[in-house]
Amino acid sequence: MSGMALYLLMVHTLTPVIVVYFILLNGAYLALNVLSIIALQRRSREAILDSLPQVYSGLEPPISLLVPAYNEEATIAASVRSMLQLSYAELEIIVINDGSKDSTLAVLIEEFGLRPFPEAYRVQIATKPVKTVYRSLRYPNLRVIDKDNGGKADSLNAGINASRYPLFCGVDADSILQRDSLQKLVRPFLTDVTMVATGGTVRVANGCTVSGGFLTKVGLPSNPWALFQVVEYLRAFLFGRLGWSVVNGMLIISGAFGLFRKQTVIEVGGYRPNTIGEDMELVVRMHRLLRQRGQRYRIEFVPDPVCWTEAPEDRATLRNQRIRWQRGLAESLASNWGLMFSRRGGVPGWLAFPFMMLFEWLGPVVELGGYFFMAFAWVLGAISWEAFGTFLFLAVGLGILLSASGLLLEEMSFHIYPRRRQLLMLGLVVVVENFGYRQLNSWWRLVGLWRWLRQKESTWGAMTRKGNWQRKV
Amino acid sequence: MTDQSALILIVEDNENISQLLQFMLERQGYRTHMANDGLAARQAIEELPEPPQLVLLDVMLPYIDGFEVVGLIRARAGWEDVPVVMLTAKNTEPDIVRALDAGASDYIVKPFQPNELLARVRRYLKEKS
Amino acid sequence: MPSPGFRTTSELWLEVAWWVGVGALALTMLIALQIIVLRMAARRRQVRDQAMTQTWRPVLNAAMLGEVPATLPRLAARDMMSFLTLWLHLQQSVRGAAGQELNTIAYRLQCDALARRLLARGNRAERVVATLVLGHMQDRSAWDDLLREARELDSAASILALWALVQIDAAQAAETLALPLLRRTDWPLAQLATILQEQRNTWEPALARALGTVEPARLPDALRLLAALRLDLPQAVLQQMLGHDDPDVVAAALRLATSPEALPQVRAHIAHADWRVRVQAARALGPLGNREDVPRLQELLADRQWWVRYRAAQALASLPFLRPAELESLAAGDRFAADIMRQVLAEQAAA
Repeated sequence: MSGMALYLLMVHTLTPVIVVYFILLNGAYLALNVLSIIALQRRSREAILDSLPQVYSGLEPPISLLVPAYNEEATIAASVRSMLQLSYAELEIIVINDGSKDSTLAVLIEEFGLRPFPEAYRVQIATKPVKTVYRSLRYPNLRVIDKDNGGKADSLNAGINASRYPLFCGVDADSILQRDSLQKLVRPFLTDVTMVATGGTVRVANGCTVSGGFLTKVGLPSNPWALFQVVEYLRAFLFGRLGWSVVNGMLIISGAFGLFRKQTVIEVGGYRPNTIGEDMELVVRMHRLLRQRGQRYRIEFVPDPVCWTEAPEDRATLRNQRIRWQRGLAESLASNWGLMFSRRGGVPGWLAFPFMMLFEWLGPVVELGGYFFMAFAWVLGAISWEAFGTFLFLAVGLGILLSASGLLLEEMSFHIYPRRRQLLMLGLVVVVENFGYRQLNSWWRLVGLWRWLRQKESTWGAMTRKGNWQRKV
Repeated sequence: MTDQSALILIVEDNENISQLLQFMLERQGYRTHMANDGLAARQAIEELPEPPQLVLLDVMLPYIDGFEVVGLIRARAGWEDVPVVMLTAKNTEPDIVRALDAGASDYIVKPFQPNELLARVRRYLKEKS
Repeated sequence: MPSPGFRTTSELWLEVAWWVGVGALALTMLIALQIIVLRMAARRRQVRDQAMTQTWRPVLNAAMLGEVPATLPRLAARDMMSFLTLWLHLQQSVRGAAGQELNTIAYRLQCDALARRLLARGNRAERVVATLVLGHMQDRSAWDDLLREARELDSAASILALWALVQIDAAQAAETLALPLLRRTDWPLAQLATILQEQRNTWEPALARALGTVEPARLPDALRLLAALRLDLPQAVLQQMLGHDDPDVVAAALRLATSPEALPQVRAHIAHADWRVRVQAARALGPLGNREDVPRLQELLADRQWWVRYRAAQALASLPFLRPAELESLAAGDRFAADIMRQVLAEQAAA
C-alpha cells in the first residue's frame, strides 16, 4: 500500500525530529539552569553582606511605586497599607484607579484620608483621560489617580505620567511584598549605571501565612494545582530567567514586580495599550529599540524571593491564566518581530528571541504533536511498543531531570522550604508533574496559540479582565 | 515601693540587639517581656495583665512599624503614662521628630552605647516610682 | 542494559533516545543525592552555629557591659567565621566603650592575625568579613592589604575596604584614595555618604584637591557626590566649575552653590540653554535669592520643562517675603505657570 509506505516514510523522518526537539527543549532549559548557577555563585558571595546589618543613609534613588487597580474594593486597603510599610528611604506610592465599577475609590478615600489635589499633570505618554488626582492627608507620599477605564497598560502609563522619580516600580494590587523587596530590587541599579530594568521573581503564596499584607511564614500549599505550580515556577520561571539574565537576554519581567528606569520606558513609548502581555511586550520592545540604537544597557533578574502571589487553585482559572499567558507571549513576539536576528540584536536577538519562538511559542505544538504522533504511529503499527515506550521514557525522563534541577538550584540558593516533609513532597511532585500536568499545560498553551491566531487583534474583553483583575478569594 | 521588680517590654526584631537588651536589663534585676515584631508587640499590649514600667521600642519592625505601636500603647487604658523609649536607626531629624510626635518619651539612636541606655532606663524607672 | 530491538529504520534515533533517557535518570539520581547532601551539611552547620552562639553570646554581652571574664571559652578553628559574623553584628549595633570591649576580646582571641590571614588568602566572603573586622579593630598593620582590596574591581568588597581604611586613619585614607574615589562609577552614593559623613573635615580638602585632577568626563559625577555629601568647595574651585563649558558640569556644580559669593554666577545661569542647568539654578536661587531675583524666577515659571517650572515655583514659594496671594499673581500670566504654582502652594499647605 503506497499510502502506508508514505506514512512509514513520514514516521521515519519525523521521529528523529521529535526526539531531537525534546532533547533540545529540555537541554536548553538545563543549560539555562546551569548558567543560573553562575549568577547564584555570585550572589552567594554577596550573601555574606546581606547578613550584616546595612546602614542606608537615604541616598538610594527614589522610586515611584505604581499600583494599577480595577475592582479591588475588598483588598486594596490592605495592599496599600502593606506597601506603605515598605522600608525604603524615598518612596512615593501612586494607586491608579482604572475606572472601577465598585467602591475601590471610595474605600481608598475613606481609609487614607484622600483629598483632591491640583496636580500639574504632565502628559508624557498618551492615556485615557484622568479625572482627578488625590493626595493623602495622612500619608504624604501616597497619591491616587482616578481615570477612565483603559486597561492595565493604560493605567501604568498614567502612573508614569504622574510619577516624580527617575525609577518606577510596577506592582499588581495583589502582589505580596516583603519590607526589603525594593531594596533588593534596586541594588543592580546602584552599581551599574547602564541598568534600565530589573525584575523580581514571583513565588507561590498559597500555603504560606499572610498577615497584614506581609508573608509571615513560608509553607507548601496542600492544593495539588498549587503544588504543581510551585515546582513549575522553580523549573521554568525562576532559574530560567536568572540564566537569561546572566547573558543579558532576559525577555520577560513579571508585571507583578518590576523596576524600570522611567526615562527609558518613556523613550520607547511606554506600555502598549490593549495588549494582553503588556509586561513582556514592553521588555521585548526595550531590547529591540535599545539594540537598534546601539545603546549599552542591562536588564537584570533578582532571584531573591521578594514577591509572592496567590496561584490559581482550580483548573478553570489556571487554564484561563495559561491561555492568556500564551496569547501574551505570541503578541509580544509578533509585535517586536524586528528583534529576531536583527543586525545588532546581540543575545536577545540571536539567542533569546529565537529560543522563545522555537521552544515557548512553537513548543506546545511540537510537544503535544509529538505525543499524539507517536501514539498514533504505535496504534497504527508503524512503530513498535518498545519504540513508543522509549520515546515516553525520554520525554518523561528529561522532564523529571529538568524539574529536579530546579529543586537543586532552590536548595543551593534560598531553601525556603527547609522541612524534610516539604522536600519529600516537592520530590514527589517533581516526578508526578511530568505525568500529566506538563502535558495539560501544553494543551492549554496550544489553545492560547490558536486563539491568538484566530483573533490577531486582542480585545481587552471581559474574559481576560476577569482572569487578570478580579481577586480570587 | 513594691517587691516586684520593674517589668520592661522590649520590642526589637534584630535578635542580636534584643538578646543584648534582655541580658543587660535582667542583670540589673528587671523583668523583661520580649516581642520580636509588630504583631507580637500588639499581642503583648493587648494581653499583658498590667502595664510595664518601661517600653523599649524599635522603629523598624516587621508588619506594624514602631510609630503605630506607640499609638497602640497610648490607646490602651492604663498605659497612657508608660515611658516609651524608641530606638531609631538613623540620626536624622524626620525620624526623631516623628518618634516624639507619635508619643514616645525619648529616643536612642542606633548604634547605641549600652551603658548610656541603662542610665536612661534607670532614670525613667526612678521617675515613675 | 541491552537496549530493546526496534522494528523500524529509525533505530539510531531511538537508541539515542534510550541512552539520553538513561542518562537523564542517572543525573536525576545524582541531583537527588546532592540535594540530600546539601541539606545534611546545612543542618550540621546550623547545629554548630547555634552551639557557638549559645557559648559566646553571653560572653560578648557581658564584655560589652564592662565585665570581661578572666578566661574565655575555647573557639574551634571551624567556628571562627561564624564567631566573627556574630562579633561583627554586635560591633555594628553598639558604639563607644562597648565596641572597645569587643575589640579587647578579639585581640585576646587573636582575631587580628586570623583576619589578616583571611584577607591575604581567603575567598570573597572571608575577605569581606576580614576587612570589616580589621576596620573595627583599627589594625594598622593591615593597611597595605586593605589598600589593595580598596583598589579591586569588586565594588562591594572595595567600598568596605575604604570604610576600614577610613576607620584606621581617615587623613591618610583621604590622601591616598580621594582621587580613585572620584574616578569610580560603581561605589553607591549611599554607602559613600555613610562612610565619609563623620570624617568630612579630613576629606573635604583632599576631595577638593582631587577634583582638580579628575578627568573632565568624570567631573559631573564627582561634583554630584560632593553635593550629596554636603561638602563645601573652596570658592575659587567652585567658580571655576560654574564657568565650565560642559552644561553637565555646571548643573552639578550648581548643587554646591550654597553661599552668597556664588550668587552672580547662579543668576547668570538662570537663562542657560540647557534645561538641566536652569533647573539647578532655580533650585539654588531659593535659599540665596532676594527681591531682585523674583522677576527672573517668574520667567522660569513659564519654562517649557516641567521640572524647571516646578523648582522655580518652589524657590519662589520659599522666599520669606512673598505671600501666597503675591505668588499667585506672579503666576497668573501663563496657564502652565498658574498650574504649577497652584500645585506647589497646595503641597506647602499640606506639609
